[in-house]
Amino acid sequence: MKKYLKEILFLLISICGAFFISGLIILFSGEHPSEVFSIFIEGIFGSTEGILYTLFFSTPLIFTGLSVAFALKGGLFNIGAEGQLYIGSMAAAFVGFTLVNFPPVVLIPLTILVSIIGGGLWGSIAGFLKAKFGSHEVINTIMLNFIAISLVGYLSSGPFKNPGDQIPQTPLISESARIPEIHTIFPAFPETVPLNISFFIAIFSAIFAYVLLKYTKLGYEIRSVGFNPDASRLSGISLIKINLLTMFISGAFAGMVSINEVLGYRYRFLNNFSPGYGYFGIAVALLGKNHPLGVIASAIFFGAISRGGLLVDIHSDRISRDVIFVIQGIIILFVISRELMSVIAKRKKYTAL
Amino acid sequence: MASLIHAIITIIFRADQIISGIGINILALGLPGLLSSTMFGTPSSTPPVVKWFKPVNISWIERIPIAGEIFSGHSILVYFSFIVVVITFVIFRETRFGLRIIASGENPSALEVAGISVVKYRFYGVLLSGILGGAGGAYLSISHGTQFIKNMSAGRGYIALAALILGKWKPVPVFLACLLFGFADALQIRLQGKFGIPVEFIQMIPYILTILILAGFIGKAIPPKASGKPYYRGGEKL
Repeated sequence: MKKYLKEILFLLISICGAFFISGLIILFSGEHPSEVFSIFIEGIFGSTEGILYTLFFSTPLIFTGLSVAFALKGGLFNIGAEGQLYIGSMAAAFVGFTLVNFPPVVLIPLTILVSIIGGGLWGSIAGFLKAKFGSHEVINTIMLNFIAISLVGYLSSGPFKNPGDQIPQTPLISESARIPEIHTIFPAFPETVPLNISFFIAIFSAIFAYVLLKYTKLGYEIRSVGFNPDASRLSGISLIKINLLTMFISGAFAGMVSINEVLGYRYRFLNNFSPGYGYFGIAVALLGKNHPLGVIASAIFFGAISRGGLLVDIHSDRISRDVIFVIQGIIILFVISRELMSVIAKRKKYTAL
Repeated sequence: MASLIHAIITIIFRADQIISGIGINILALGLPGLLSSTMFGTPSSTPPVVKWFKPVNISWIERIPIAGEIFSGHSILVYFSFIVVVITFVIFRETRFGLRIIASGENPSALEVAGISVVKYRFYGVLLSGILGGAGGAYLSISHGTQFIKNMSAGRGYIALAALILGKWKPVPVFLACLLFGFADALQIRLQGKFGIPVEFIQMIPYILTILILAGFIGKAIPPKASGKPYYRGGEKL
């Protein structure tokens, strides 16, 4: 119990540190930090709308956070969630606007399945390269991001472009491929917020990942490979198989961003829709300590930051949304400086002697 | 500056170097935009600067047939990069400083036994690396172009990693590998709009090349033995 308290204390210090440094940057820009932060907090907790928007923003982050966390459990660092989510979303949109005559019962599961397979296959390319040639997945997933972005850019401005539109986007998906927004289920909630049931699918996916990792043979093998690949290989686990599967599942989670984006929000593939969900996923996973349930909490935290940052951006000319990136980067640096604490503790011990 | 933070975190706090590098990258994704917006009010690009480095024509190079045309008329930073390759080569080959940096990567405990601070030389290494990275950025923003544009580097830092692996961690082969990637990039720009191939596919060439080279060459390349591993002094932690 004491260990958990220490962990939480450390996370709080990281978050406070990040806000302190961003406060300094805001001060440097000539705005009042207190004013900016009050807009920030007000925007998040000030209304039901604010809270629902936070959940809406956190939905894609839960998926990408799970993607990164799952791969890390298997000892692989997946920076490719950005590319995987684009491939998954394009696949889902393609099915959604092609098979227009299918009933919802068939079409919704089918589009979700296609986005899972799309993201998963894109992810497993890096898993294959790692297993077969030993080339580092960090570089390969980044390269695959650039390739994926070019590929969907081509598709959405070329063969799959909605005829007559100025911007690169696909036609709308079929009515029967769309998932309901939250206010259709709870009429008390405001209609303006695009929060949809993909949020619950995201929560469910996190629980699925938790159970898979903790209670199944496959999950055990994935964690074992992540912990010590050599020992796992000697005990008869196929590294190629596990690397491939880990990256497939990781990519599949990233591909599921499309459930929120394509099936629940825009109802089409819009080129460059992601502001960097895949990269945010790294921060989400790290802050969530790679635990599937921790990912939910940290995704909601980052969702809140996105919501607050958006309002600050509207309010001020001097501070752009980039402040979100800065806060995230600083938090990552704080979190990984874990040994900072133990080093300081050690120093104290030495001086005490 | 950024490399200083990276050095402090990875060497003193012994954090995982790759994750710290990624954290720095995410920070670097936002920070220039934020600074640009606070200073100039435009988040995605700064106002253009006067081209500081005009192309220089060196007369004796110009007179060489064929090669003269290729090597003349570049920004001074291009020549600077050639000189840096030579300097790096000499430093690692001939000087005590260079050998110590190599030792801090190959066999840190031997360096420690010789009474030299591993921490100090690893710091120098990461700092110099950051300075060179910054010079690359300077070339892009004030010499190749005239302003900072968001995400203008288009993954060049990562492509450099692939060039490093291809060049087997040695300055001159790395330089040749960089020329190869530069060639792929130039080819990509030249091929755009020709042969009816969509631009997007041509833009993929450098990235696909990187993946192929990594897959093909990794077996033969040997990184410095202790590279990427935190260094603990004897008995401090095992």
